[in-house]
Amino acid sequence: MLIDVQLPGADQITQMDEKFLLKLEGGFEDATQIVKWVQYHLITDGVLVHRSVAITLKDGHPAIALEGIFQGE
Amino acid sequence: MANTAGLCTSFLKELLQGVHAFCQDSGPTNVTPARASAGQSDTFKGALYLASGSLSPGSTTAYGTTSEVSGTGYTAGGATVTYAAGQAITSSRSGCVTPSASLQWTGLTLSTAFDTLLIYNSSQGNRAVSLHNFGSQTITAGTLTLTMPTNAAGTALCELAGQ
Repeated sequence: MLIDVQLPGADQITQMDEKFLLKLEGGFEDATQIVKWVQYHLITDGVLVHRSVAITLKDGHPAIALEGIFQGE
Repeated sequence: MANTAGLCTSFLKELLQGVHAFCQDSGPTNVTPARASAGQSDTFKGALYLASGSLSPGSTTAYGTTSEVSGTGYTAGGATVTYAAGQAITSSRSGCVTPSASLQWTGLTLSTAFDTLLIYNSSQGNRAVSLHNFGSQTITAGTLTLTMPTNAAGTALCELAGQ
């Protein structure tokens, strides 16, 4: 399978066969998000050449609507 | 300073002024101005910002290029945010609206850490809607996907909660 990569010093994104790359995956979850990442490194020297991230936002930000009260004299 | 998240203060005022229309559905049409007819709504966009930025709900009133990310596969101004018809709902004692599709950038390289999404109204002078933080990230020749939460009270991306 071909993987999009950006080699050190290169301006353009090219493709490399996955067999020349080391694949790492990981992620974490906290109160506000779920994160999953995938990285590919050159087998030869370990340089990162691809990183993709998927973030699931768990919630947004509520604004609390308050009604005012009439004040007596 | 760091970026902080929340509904922008200016947005809350502008709601009261009738500035923003997320997703008109078959709701009331006997209103003015004319844009409040079924199906008409504003266009919203989502832009990414560097973790070194200092955007905040109290100070951010519109889209700007200061601290915005740049790199292969990213166009200044960000990507269009989709709000399908009927996406503005009531849930419990809240009015809620959440983008109906994920935001995604492909063929992307952002080498400098970023951690913030600004949603803004590109139909109405790029007025800011909300800021959302996530863990600081970089992307290399890859894909960034931001998946939205459930559109309901307690989880919606934009929620106005009654007391």
